[in-house]
Amino acid sequence: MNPGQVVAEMVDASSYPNLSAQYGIYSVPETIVSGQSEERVVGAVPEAQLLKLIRIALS
Amino acid sequence: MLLSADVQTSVKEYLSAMVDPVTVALYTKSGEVSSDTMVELWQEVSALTDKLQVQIRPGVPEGMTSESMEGVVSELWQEDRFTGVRYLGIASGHEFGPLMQTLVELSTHRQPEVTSEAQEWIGQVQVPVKLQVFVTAT
Repeated sequence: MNPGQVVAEMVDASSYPNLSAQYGIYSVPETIVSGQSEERVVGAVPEAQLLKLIRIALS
Repeated sequence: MLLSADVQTSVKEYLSAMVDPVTVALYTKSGEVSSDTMVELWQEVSALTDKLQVQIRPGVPEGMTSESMEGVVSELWQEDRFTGVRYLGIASGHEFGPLMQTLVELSTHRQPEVTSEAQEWIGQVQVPVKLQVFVTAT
């Protein structure tokens, strides 16, 4: 939707153990939203909740 | 072969819906397990459709360093532009289906399954934002 600004990554925690440890990933799926700040949520969430996280991360 | 004959048949049928070509830019690390696996997986998938091209690229993806690139990275490109979709590591098990779905959605320019309000808002974002979904290969 906005490839110039938004990057969406699926991270296989087993192949990226250091990155997973850096973010303290203990259960999956876990989503990290990084913008002006960092927000995170564990599990699958409704679209509205994910968008709220993005808005907070960008504020 | 990573994909069984039955899975290949199903994937070939599913990918027959692709219209415009999609390129997978693959960044690998020599002798690293996820790299070897994804090279093989992408080769098998690309053999099932003429709308998918796999390019093994040197170096690391933009925004990463050789240290931060712990394993393989698969980036999806279209018309020489990065789509913003990236897979770090092995996209197998529960992640394989969504990966195939993403290929078809990009290829057919299908509207994302989010509300039009969300599409409009995300389309207007003016600063970098990264969404990382951590999963485990099954």
